[in-house]
This record gives sequence, structure tokens and C-alpha cells, in this order.
Amino acid sequence: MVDYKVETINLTKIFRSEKEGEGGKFLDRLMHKNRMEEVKVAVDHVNIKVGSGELFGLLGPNGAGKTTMIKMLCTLIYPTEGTALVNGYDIRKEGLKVRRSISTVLGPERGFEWRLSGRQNLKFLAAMHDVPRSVADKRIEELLKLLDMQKEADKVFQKYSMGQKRKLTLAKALLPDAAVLLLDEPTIGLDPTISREIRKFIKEKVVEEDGKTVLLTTHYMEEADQICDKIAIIHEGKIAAVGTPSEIKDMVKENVTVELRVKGCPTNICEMVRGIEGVIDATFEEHGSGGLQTIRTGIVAMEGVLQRIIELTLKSGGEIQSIRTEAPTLEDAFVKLTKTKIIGDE
Amino acid sequence: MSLLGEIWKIAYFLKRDLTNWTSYKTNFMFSLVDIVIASFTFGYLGMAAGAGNQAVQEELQSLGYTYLTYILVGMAIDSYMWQSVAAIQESINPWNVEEILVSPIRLPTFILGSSLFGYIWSTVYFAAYLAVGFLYFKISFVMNVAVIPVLAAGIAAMIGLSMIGAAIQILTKRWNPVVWMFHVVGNFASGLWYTVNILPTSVQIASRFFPQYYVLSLSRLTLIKGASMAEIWPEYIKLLVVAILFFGIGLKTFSWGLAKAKKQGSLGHF
Repeated sequence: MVDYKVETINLTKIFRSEKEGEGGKFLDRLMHKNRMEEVKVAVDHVNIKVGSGELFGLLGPNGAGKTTMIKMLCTLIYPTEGTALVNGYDIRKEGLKVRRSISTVLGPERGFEWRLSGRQNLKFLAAMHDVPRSVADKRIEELLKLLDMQKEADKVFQKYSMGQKRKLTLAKALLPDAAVLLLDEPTIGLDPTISREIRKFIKEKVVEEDGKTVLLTTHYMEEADQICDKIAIIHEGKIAAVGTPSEIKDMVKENVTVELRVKGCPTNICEMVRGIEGVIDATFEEHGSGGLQTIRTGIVAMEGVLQRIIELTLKSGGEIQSIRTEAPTLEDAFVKLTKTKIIGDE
Repeated sequence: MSLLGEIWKIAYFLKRDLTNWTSYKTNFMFSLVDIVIASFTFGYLGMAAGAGNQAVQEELQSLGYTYLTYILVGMAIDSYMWQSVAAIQESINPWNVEEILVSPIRLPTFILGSSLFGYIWSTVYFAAYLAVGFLYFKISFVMNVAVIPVLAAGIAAMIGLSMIGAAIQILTKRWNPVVWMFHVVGNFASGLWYTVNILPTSVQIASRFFPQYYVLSLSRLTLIKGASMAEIWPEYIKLLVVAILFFGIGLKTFSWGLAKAKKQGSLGHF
């Protein structure tokens, strides 16, 4: 039997709110008589399974339903339909047991006392999370060292940079010996260097060394591609695809980007290339000096398509300088999967 | 989690709040000045107003109080009532509510832990009022343990009110004036600054529904007259009923507010 640390079963959240309707009499507006109900399906029958010791990424744009998912899993939002098991406990019926099994990153500035130092904050939070006193001090020192925060540990929280706040939030999440870590956008708004450090820490220390199960949300393709063992692409509350980064990219492997560096092509070459069967799109760019031109085209990996493009380019009077092909990226996969049909759940 | 563990958490809250409070360098000095000035202000106000209204004078004489003792004890007790009304609303806010609710901390531990520092501060006020009365105005108070259950019941009632306020705050994302108004109206109707008998009859009747009425009258009986529990129990039972009612409604409202916010998904919104 597979040991899943997180399993969602048709997990659904529908938000209903009221908004003021347009127009209407002044008195009606004053008395809110023209209010209309607004319904938003934030999470729509989601089924995902996160195995023990897995780093699972929920990838989606802003408003896709990622945070709602995380908040349902940590019992801060009640599902409208369906449920989820976290560390084997039902989020609907066993809230306290769920909360004892998890550790969260919900926001960089939430839950900290601004006039206390980083170390003082961590000591307080360790006590709140039932970390034994004999363990707390040692663990805090370890975490500060691992996150390279020893120098700033005694500085008050309000003087921390965004990156330092994020690091401390991560340290807070790692204080208790929780089985499952739910991290909502752990690197959002950070500069690339700190983002890289945090990603490395999550991957190498938290997952690979400590064997924790991590479910993180992100809208950074690179982040999901680099560190996640498995990804679920979420779009408008629905899961568009689930798999390893390679599996997701393989879903669009027929899409190849070809870049031709040419000279002497007519400006209407784009339209001509687009006319070839198997070409999805084409752009043409002229560089100022030396008559260098670039034809960038997305093609379906059908036999002979590239050959036909080359022939057409030469026939039009162009001289080919170089040809470069690019394999599909996770971003290509994401764009395709979220623009086309929703494939469904696992 | 063991009781010791919960006590340990409460101690950490206290340490946190003390560290936080002392980080405001001028805070300590100003707070001390505030306590001393407030004690003297109400002391002198008691002396000045003591010779005023005839009905108040007669009522106070029949009770065996002077206006000075009446108002000083009233203000000392009100420092606990005010802290209790503010306790939950101040400790649960949109910035921390999600972090609290996602941690394994028990709600009673959180409430007690995060309001304990405020109660210590209330005790400093309480002691200052009585000390100024005793040392400067030469009033003798009775150090009577019977005031403890009276205060405990009063605090429970006002915490109930605070929980109602916190629920409204969680749902509306705004500071809740209703509870503050209730406290102010309660003080107006329940005899904090004057005896209830000078108020219109309808207000006098309404005052019986405010916990402050019982807390203030019973505290004065215990601290000024030295009344024992055996002497005050019929009125104390009434206070207990009001306290249970307020606390119960408060707890229910708070749970309802939390559940509604979780359903709406608006807990951390502000």
C-alpha cells in the first residue's frame, strides 16, 4: 500500500459573496437592494496524492486556487465539497490532529512579533508548537546556521529585509518536527540569489536529508522544474496535469521551437512559413547591422516540417546562417495545458 | 499536552509581552506617571464631588461609604473589567489569527497567555488606586479574599463580551464599537462613578443586566465593608448567572464567527 501524506478527494471550494449591482435607484443602492450574489469556484474537484518524502509542487498563476488549497489542507478554510487526508487525518473531522501533523508557511510577516528579535520570535513559536525546551534552543541554532541567519538572529524582526523574513518564516516552519510541510509561495518576491538558497535548502535539507513531505505552491515555472519531484498544474481551480516535470514536458513534446538565423529573406517570409502544415506560429525579426534576420517558429514535431521550412527559406532567396531547435519547457507545457482542454485528475 | 506544558506556554506569552513592552523605551515611565496621576485624579474627584448630590450622599451614608472610597474602589475594579473587554479583541487580529489557528495551541491557553500581561498591568493599577487611597487619603480598605471570586466572575462575564467583539471583528475586519459601547453604557448604568439610585427607574432596572453592576457593588462590599462570601452570596449568585450567560454566549458567538470566517475563507483578510 502506498503511503500518501496528502491525499485530496474531490476537494472543492466555492466562494459566494455579494457585490453591488450597477445602476438602480439611489435609495435601493443605499439599502443594498440591488446586491447580486457572486459565485467563484476556487478549487474544483481536485484529486492529488503526495507520497511520503515527496516534494510536490502546485503550479499555477495567481488566482488559480493554490492558496485556497493550502488553507483547506491546514484547516483554515472549510471545503464546500470533498475532503482531504493529511498524514492520514481527515481535514473535516480531525482538525487538531491535522494541525499537529503539519507546519506551514502562509506569509512572510504573519505570526511574528515585530519588536522581538528573530531568535526571540523562534523561541516563542517553538514553545507554541510544543517543541520541548531541551530541543528548542539547539534546533533554533541549527536552523539559523543552515539558513545563514546567525548574524541577524538578534536583530528585531521589523528591521529584517524581505529575504530575511522569508528565511525566518521557513525556520519557523521547520521548528516543529512536523510530518508534512505546506509552503505557500515560499520564494515569492525574493531576489534570485535568496530564492535559489531557499530552494536548495528545501530540496536538499528538508526533503532529501530530513525526509519530510513538502507540498509547495508556486507560480515560478523554474522553481517547480528545478526542485519538485512531482507537479500538479492548477488552472481556474482545476488540475490540468499531474506528473514529474519531465512527464509534464513530455505532454507537449510534439511542440518544438526552431530558430533560423538567415540573411536576405523577404519580409513576408513569416506568412509563407505559417502556410506550411505543422507550423503553429512564426515570427520574423530583422537585426540592424549586417542584414541578419531571425525566423522563430513553433512546429509540431512531424517528419519533414523543418525540411520544408529550410527549403522555403532557400527558395525565397534567403541564406541560412544557423539553425537552433529548443525542446519544450515547462512553461510551454503550462501554456498549452492551461489553454487547451483540462486533462483531468490523476 | 500536559498542564505543565500549557503553563510553560503561558509563561512564554508573558515573557514575549514583557519583552515587547519594554522595547518601547518611554512606555514604562509614561505608564507609571499615568497610574499615579489617574489615582490622584480620581481621589481628588472623589473629595470634590463627595459634597455634591444629596441623593448620592444619603445612599452612600446608608451603605457606610464615602464618595472617595466609592470611586477609588470602582476605578480599581474597572481596570480589570476594561482589560477583560479588550483581552480577546486585542489578542486575536487578522495578522495573527491564521498562525494561531494553524498551530496546535489550545484556545484557552492562547486567551489566557495573551491577556495575562494585561491583567498584571490591571493589578498594578488596582494596587495603585488602593495605595494612593490608603497612604495619601488615609482610607482603610479591607484586604478581603472574597473579592477574588467576585473579580473572577466579573472577568469571565467581560471576556464573554470580548469574545462577541472578537467574533464581529473576525467577520467584519473592523474594530468593533458595539462591545466598547456596551462597556461604556454598562459603566454609565452600573454605578462606577455614582450610585445607581440617582438614575431614572428604567435605567436602574436595566443596570441589573450588566455584570458591572454586581461586580462593582460586591467588590465595594468586600473591600470597604469587609463583607464575607456568606454575606454576599445571594447577589453573588446573580453575578454568576450573568457571568455564565455572557461567557456562554461569548464562546458560542466566537465559535460561530470562526466557523463562518472559515467557510467564507476570510480569516486572514484585513
